[in-house]
Amino acid sequence: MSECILEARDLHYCYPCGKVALSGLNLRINANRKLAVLGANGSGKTTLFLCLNGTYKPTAGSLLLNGQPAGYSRTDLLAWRKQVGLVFQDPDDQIVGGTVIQDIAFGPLNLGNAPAKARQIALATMEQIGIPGFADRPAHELSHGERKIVAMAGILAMKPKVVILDEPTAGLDPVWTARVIELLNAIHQAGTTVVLSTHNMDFAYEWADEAVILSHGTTQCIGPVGEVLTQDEALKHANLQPPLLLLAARSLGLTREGTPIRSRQQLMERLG
Amino acid sequence: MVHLMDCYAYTSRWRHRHPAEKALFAGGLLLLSFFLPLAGLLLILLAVSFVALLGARIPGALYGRVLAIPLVFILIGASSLLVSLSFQSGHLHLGFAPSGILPAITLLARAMAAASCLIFFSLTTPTADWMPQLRKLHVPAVVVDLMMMTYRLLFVFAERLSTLQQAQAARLGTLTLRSRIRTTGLIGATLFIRSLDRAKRIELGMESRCYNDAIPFLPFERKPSIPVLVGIFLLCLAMAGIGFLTKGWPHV
Repeated sequence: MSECILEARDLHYCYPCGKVALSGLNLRINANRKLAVLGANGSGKTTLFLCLNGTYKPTAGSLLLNGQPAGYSRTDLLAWRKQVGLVFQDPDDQIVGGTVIQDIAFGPLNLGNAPAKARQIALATMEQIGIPGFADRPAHELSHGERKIVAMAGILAMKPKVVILDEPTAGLDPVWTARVIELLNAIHQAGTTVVLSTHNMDFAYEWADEAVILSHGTTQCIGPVGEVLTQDEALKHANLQPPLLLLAARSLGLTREGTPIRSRQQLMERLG
Repeated sequence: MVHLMDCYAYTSRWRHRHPAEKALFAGGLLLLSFFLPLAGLLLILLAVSFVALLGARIPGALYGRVLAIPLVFILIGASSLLVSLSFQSGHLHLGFAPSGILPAITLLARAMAAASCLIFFSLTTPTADWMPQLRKLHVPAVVVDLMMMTYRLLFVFAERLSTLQQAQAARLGTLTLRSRIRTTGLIGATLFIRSLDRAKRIELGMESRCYNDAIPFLPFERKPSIPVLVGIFLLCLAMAGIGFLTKGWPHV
């Protein structure tokens, strides 16, 4: 059993307008895993994420950070968000700087880095994620895909142990999607725990180690991705569909022998 | 046009000169253009245009187009000095006033000299570069942050607005005057609600990145060059000197 970085216990969240978003959710995020959070629209993914980095305080239930109950004092929140970074779905909700470097340096500066150091961190992060030369570009002139990458860089520059991404590939074309996936794999390789939500079941099936299905504010099913996504009943109950690859493998009779088919490439190879 | 100027500034050849250098040059000469006599004003206009076109290499067409915008207003204003109104023996006389020629030309030169300074600055220094530097001048963080957020969100909302307009037009919401008024109202209301929503989400976004009451200040990459600043200061002094020496020019 690997170390659990972040744990949600019986989490409830109710919006001021009375809408219940989370009702008794349990989730363990294990260190250095790739976790996909799957759920239909309105199943509570975004609310869960906002609870996971302390932005929303759950109405009931508790969050454990490294095994300790998380606190909501200013210093606690600072330490929490330093460890758990959240990338929003809409980059315009997150980008505040006029230029790319101003925005990426925002987090490192908030963490108390000196300006010169923050600039250096921002430049290194841009280099790492493949957008060198973006530093002085104005945020409003970037394309949607570029803005998503910049928003990610803004979080990665804070060097969190856990990165949570709310639909990182939504609205991106295949080229940008591939770049984002490559980037996520690279930061995972470097020892970061990556949690993301997605509607792309094939992507989740191929990419993730573990998956969790959310429905009506609770976890329906959690475990290794190969086990979770093969539970048709749970998927149906959550208004989700099994990955196409799995259906194809099943109908071609390729599920019994050998390793399960998790990517297009594997399917093509098996088909010869 | 404003958007064009904003876009150009980010690609300007002098983008990476420190904003303080450009601000001292433009601001110093702007200040002088408030009270120098005609010769000094022409000199300022000439000097700024020279620096803008040959130094910063702003394309002549762009510089000219931007300068032409205030020119229209100023021409209308200055031309009123050439007209005399008098009331004689019960009749209103409208006449040409030769005594107004020099004041009109001076006014024109003054306004254009001042405008050229501002245009030079805005075409070489993007907003996102100079705004944060206001913190160095001890402008309160709240004011600077508000300016920065306004600037950033201006583009987010402009994008939203044009999408909303296109969507309404696609559903034939702009055919008649009546429907156009109704559509404009709807768009305004939607945009207002979305703005509030956006404000809330941006706050969450900033909190997630450990925002702590003030947007931290990232100084400009380079320091301002002292020789350049001194040079600009001396230039301003020289301009002031020449201006005052030619005070009586031209004799009328």
